[in-house]
Amino acid sequence: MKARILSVLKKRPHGPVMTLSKLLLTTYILLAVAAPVIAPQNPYDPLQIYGWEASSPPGTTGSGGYLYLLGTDGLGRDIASTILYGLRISLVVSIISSAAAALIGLTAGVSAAWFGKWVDVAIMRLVDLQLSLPTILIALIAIVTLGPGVDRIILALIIAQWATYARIARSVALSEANKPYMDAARLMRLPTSRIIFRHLLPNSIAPALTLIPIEVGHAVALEATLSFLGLGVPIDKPSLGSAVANGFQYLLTGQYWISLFPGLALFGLIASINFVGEDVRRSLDPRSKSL
Amino acid sequence: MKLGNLIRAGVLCTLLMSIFLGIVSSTPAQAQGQAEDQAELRIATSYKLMTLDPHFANLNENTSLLSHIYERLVYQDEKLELKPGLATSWRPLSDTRWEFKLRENVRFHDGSEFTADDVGYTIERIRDVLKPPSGGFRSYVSGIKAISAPDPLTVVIQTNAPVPNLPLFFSSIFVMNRPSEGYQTTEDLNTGRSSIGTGPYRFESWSSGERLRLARNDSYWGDKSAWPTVSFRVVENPAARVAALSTGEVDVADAIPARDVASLKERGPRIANIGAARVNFVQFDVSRDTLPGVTDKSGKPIANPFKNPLVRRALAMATDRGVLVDKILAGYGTAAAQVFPNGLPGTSGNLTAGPPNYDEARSLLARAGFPDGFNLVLAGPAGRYPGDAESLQAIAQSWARIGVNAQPSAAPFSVFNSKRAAGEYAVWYGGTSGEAVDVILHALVASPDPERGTGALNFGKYQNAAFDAMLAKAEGIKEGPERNQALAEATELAMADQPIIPLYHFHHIVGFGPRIGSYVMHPRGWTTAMQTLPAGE
Repeated sequence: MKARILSVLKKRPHGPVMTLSKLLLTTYILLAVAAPVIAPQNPYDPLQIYGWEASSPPGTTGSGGYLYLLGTDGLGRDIASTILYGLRISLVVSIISSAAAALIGLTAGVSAAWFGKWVDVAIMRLVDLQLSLPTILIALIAIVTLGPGVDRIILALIIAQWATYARIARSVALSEANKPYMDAARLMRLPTSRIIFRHLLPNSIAPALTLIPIEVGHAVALEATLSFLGLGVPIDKPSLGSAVANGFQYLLTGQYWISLFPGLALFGLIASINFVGEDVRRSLDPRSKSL
Repeated sequence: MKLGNLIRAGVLCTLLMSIFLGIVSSTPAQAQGQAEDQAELRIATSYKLMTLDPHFANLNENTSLLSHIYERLVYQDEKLELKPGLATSWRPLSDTRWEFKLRENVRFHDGSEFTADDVGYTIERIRDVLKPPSGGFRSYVSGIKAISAPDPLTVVIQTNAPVPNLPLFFSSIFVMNRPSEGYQTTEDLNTGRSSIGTGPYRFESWSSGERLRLARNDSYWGDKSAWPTVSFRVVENPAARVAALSTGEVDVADAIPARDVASLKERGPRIANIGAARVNFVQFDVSRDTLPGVTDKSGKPIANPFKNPLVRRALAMATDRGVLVDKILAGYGTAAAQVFPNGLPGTSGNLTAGPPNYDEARSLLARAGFPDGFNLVLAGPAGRYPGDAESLQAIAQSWARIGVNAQPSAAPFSVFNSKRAAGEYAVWYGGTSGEAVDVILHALVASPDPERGTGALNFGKYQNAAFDAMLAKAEGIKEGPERNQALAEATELAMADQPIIPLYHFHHIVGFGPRIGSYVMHPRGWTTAMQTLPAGE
């Protein structure tokens, strides 16, 4: 499995867009990891923010000794630092929630396929119900019920995303369950947990895994949407989405930089994740191997 | 394929440019064209008029627009001083009896004469007839025992107990015309068939929450309006009001966001603004022993620190109102140290908001036993008042400089309100307005006492017997310099104890177009055609 992924990754064609996306995504991740070291200001520490320097245009030097490379927002936060710290929130939230959603979805889907009967009915009807509603609506309901906070956002995104994984995992597991090696495992009277976790799950996992990179992109966008609506992160700890929202009201006043730069950063992040994710998906997808 | 794309891009560019240029070039011409061929005054207002009953609720939403049709016995001018309205003079006959002399030759829109009987009808309707939810004015007249009319132009009002500011109360009440029989109901009035007052404009048409059309009352007793007709359009979205004004679609737009003022001026419209007769503040819970979210620096709950006036004063001293006013309100606000902007009746000239003094504040905190500060959650509504959610974060920045770690928490107003009522907050941002300083002090600072009706907005349950006595004494003095002086002294006493931290008085901002010569602002925040003078003539 690992060897296959590696070999496929190596022989993917590299167009300029793909190279750029990979470069961009790597930069984003490095920037997010190094944010506390390289950001001129900690935008979450009120002691480092100077309120009277609010709405400074890009290139102003502030009294904290910082160069406001991309300007400051309406409360005096350095936009560049806000982007760097916001990136961390966006990436951490989306990666953790997608991984957890995948884990829960896979387990639920495979369990539905293996146990059948009422377990199948119960899980799959829940999945149907959820997939019939728009994701943003489910996330909204979840966040309103759970309350604000970064951990709640992660939870809301898991709730919003697990169903997609469950449906795919179930259909793959159903076809896998009827294959001869499964009969062999059953005839050897292996324990159920061993059959599920050692045989069925690893063999059903590939198609569902191809979803993860795409879903991470969705999760970034979903988190940004929730934060833009003011339902996500706390107001004094802006993520990329709430940074855009902070500047939204200033758009017509000429203070374009408050929204523009976080918006561009968000756009680049989602675009690069989607390009790279699509590439990874294609290389992992068994059907595209024949090409 | 490549060529096709290029052509398409070219077509798109031309199209976009033509749309853009079209907007820019047509706007001023359009506005001018309208100025010549119609003399109607068009106002976009944030005030959503939901009823034509002038006694339904005491909200600017209703009173601002209905003041064109109905009038009051007494007016409040721009300094909030009382001026003759439908009453030309008034005087106390004894502690519990007031005499109002009414204006002669005033006629209602249906031609009937205005007399003392109409004043009696108005009081009876509010006191005896209207049932909740329409009870907004009852508190003004509930103390009235009897009304008599020695002659058609004199009203004598007898109260149960002394009410020295009864004339102020009548500056809120619209006078209605006594119908041939019974009392008009809110439903009757909402049909629009019996909106008959004495005001400078007659009612023409109304669609609830959308539009109100008025026509000049040519037999008005006072100065006649320059506008033959006036139309109010309710536009709740501030950006839409700004857009309507800058395209010349309306002549006046109220409640302009401060941040849009600069770009609006560049496009032509002018701006008028005035410090509002209201205050936004931080309020402390000073009654409970422990408070949600208030902990020491290691996260352990601590006893309520706000019971100590030193802590309240330290936080007030560490609040940078300059940032709130200059940055968040873009200069369209006044730093507050009391409940009304300095200079209005009942305010104290000794109370001014200075720059923050972090060193002094830190030593106050140390004296109170918090040398390292503490943690708290600062709650507030989002989108209710200009600059509310931003203020929470700016205050948190200020307080961090004396070691007080404030976690701002903003919620929609309805959520905020119910959570505050449920006791989930320790310290919060709020706002209030009123006719006069004593009305606000009565509700916001006086000890809560349902029987006396004090402290209705004193959610922090602050109690100060000395202040209560001073306020009660001031309220017993009749309107005038003596009363104002007593109110100023009571304010000084309370503010030394800092039960609230006054933050700012935001400005009402009105924008007006080329057809308007000037707009006279009123601190109560009303938007009326009477304040609007035409250009030129």
